[in-house]
Amino acid sequence: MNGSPRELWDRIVKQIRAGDPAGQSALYEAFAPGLRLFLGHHIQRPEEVEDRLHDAFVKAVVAIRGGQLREPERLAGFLRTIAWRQITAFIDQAVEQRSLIEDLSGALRISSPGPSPEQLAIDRQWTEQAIEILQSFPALDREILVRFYWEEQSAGQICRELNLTPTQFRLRKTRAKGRFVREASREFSRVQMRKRTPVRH
Amino acid sequence: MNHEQIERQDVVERYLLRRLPPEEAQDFEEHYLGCAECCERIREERQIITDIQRACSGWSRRKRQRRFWTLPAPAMGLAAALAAAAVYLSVMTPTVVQRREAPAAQSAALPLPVVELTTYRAGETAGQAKAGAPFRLRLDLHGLAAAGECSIEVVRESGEAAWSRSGVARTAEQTEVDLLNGLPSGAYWVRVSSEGKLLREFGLRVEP
Repeated sequence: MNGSPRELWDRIVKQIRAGDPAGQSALYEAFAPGLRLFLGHHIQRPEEVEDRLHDAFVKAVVAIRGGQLREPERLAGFLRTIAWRQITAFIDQAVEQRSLIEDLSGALRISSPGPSPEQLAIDRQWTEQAIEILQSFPALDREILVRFYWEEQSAGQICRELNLTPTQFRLRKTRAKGRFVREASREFSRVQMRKRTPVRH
Repeated sequence: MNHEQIERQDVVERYLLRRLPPEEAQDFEEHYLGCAECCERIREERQIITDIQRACSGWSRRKRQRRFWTLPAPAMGLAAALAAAAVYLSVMTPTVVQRREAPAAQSAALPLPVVELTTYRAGETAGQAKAGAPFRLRLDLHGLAAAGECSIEVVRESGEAAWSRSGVARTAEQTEVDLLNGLPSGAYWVRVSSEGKLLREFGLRVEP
């Protein structure tokens, strides 16, 4: 598709208003990846995302046709609002379902989101390697990563407790993260290669 | 919001770690919804963060285990004496009092294998225990506002209750309970609640 987002959004809105199915396809093509990430970020249940995404698109098309979006340049914000309503509806529903499950205790089956044994084994192997990578880091770099990414400490707290200036913290964190990414992608490709090696019978 | 700003201010990472102020998060969301480049950046960054968190979690766990086993001999002796005293007290103290012991005192009572369940994060797998064997559940409650009491319930995948205990003391960081009879093999949910409100839920796998 050509043109700037503004032109594209303008065209999509016009097509949808006119009842042209190409508008719906273009809307989906332009926004589905972003909306999927947005819903996944807030819902954190991959199995729920596709249904919510579908509902959000249906509602958006109906609302655009109904003239609820006056300025096409607000299309992204408009879609975000509709998707956000899907998220709040999901949360309400989850809370309601949870209390229902507790009331009935046993009458309903909770589906297990657990990974397969093979995936568990791969995850375990990969985690071991990731730990080894971290183990090889200088103690201060490792401490920064653990505090920032795992213990969820703020940059300010880490600087205070480890006696670092904000610049030192930023540089060290960026460098450590970069090193982790480099070494992890090397290790990960090894794991993938081992995984792909055919078994001889 | 433009790409230069996003890059310079580490917006993607801060967004994924939920450290962006709500208005900035909303601006960024409205930007990336229609931006293929940022969507790709988010996917990559999410994977990187997941990997780092997984490594950090594993490394922290190892460090804690190592710290215990490398205690100097007098400290080990003291720990053993405390454990023996705790076992004696747990036998001699009425049940009601036992239930309300602080997590630390409760955990010193018996040298059980610990199954640690951490708050759900992407990529993290369910905790594992051995069927029929006693174990200690250590639950990560990181992020709760204050210490207090909670109820812990272990339910089967089918939803039926397998084990529960109320009046369990917790800190803002964690709580521990001992399942002295263990559990049959299968998949379980471990729920921590307080005053009827669910605080945390974890997955637990019990292997034969």
